Amino acid sequence: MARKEFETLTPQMYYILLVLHEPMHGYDIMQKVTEITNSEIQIGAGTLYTLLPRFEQEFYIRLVREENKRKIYQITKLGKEKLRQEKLRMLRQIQLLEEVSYE
Amino acid sequence: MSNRKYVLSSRYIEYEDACLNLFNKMNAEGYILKKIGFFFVFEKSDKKVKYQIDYTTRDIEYNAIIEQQGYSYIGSCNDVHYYYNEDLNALDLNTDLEVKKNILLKRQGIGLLAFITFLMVISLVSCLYRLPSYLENPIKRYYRFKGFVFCIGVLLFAIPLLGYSIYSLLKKRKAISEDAYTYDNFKKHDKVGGVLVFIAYISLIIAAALTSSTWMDFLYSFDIIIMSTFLRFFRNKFVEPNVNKEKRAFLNFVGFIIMFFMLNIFTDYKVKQDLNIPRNFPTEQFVYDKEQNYVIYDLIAITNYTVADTAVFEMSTNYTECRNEKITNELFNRFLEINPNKKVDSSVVEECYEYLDKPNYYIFKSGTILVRFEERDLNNLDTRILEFIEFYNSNKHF
Repeated sequence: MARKEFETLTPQMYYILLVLHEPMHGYDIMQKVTEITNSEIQIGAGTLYTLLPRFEQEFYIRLVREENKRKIYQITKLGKEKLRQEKLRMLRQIQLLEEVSYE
Repeated sequence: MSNRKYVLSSRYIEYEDACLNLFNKMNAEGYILKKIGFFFVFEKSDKKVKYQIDYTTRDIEYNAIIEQQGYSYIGSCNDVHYYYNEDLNALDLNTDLEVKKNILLKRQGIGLLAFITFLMVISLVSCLYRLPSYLENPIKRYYRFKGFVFCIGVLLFAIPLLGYSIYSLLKKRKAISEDAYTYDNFKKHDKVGGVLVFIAYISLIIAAALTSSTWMDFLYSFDIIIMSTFLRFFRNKFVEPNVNKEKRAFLNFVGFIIMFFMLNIFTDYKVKQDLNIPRNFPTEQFVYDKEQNYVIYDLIAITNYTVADTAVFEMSTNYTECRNEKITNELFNRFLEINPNKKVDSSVVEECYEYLDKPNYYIFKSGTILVRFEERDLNNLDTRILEFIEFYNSNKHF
């Protein structure tokens, strides 16, 4: 069965939420993610613009304002909490890997 | 050699992999996709392009961004949008498979499943509810011949088709989850569905042809299909491509309202053409009292109305008062005899008058007079009928 939506974040979801600690619009998000990941993660416009309204529905991000018909979003407390959970999950994964590696 | 090539889209359109394979194959042969619709229309071109199929709602901001990335819009079909890019190395529009999977699951969603199931249960219950009375009562079978035929049709074809749709939807949802939602995997499966749909349509056409006495009647059997196709076409013509979901939902709602009114107007028009009487007429009341010399029966029987009409003709009662016993008997035999070949012409109606403010009465060429009373009159029916007879006798224009 498919996972529940947003049960865990895919790398692209993760980076979108990460860069939204600063308010920015869609195009900036794509640029910023490419920049900070050294082009390792590139987000397609379709994926991004499908995720933004979904994140907004889940209250992970909120619409700050609209400028020149471009919507500017920022992360919310709930979004930050989601990132924190994701961090814990990744730390657990790392810890488990280390345990295996040391054996 | 022709500059254009047409490929029937229905075979591929549901499957992204099949569409992209086709587009790329055509591109390799020197054709570029120009239009999406009932057909994929390709035009000769030397351009080598990259195609993308996208589910993201188009709006000004989104369009601007993808244009900036070099994407050009080709067209849309069922809220799926098609683009091409002359830069073969351009970044894909959908880069996260997980997100795409969720979109596909929503498109084959629980809502659709619930709707199909609801449709199936409703048609099954209504058919099973009606069928015994058709089977037991030959008179009813004759009156409602169209209803009877459609009832059988629904049980034989529509129910299996809906059942297959449910099975198909569940299978597709599973395939999407397992990344196995491809054209090849569903080729045979869709063929079975296609054959079922084809049979259902053909049987619908045959049933309509068998039970319709005029062309209008025949077309009327497909009123909802014709109307909804028209509205869909109309909406897509005017609201594509820059439209957001709310606007679309609103337009769908407006479309539904327009359709509702158009159907009513259509019905009114047809009824007025067939019979000079207003809507909101009969039920299955059937009383014959020789001593009192009046007949009460269903208008549908007199005018040979179809099941589509009965839907709008509900919840009123008709009473026919007939002075000519010979004609009464003749009429009566006509309706009571179990003879489906005997049809009554709608030209039997000669004139219609208003009686008091509400109930109308109609004079038939046969000499029969049909009177409509309000539902509230049912409680003191006898008094009302006597009242009418008195009124009838005291009026000169008879």
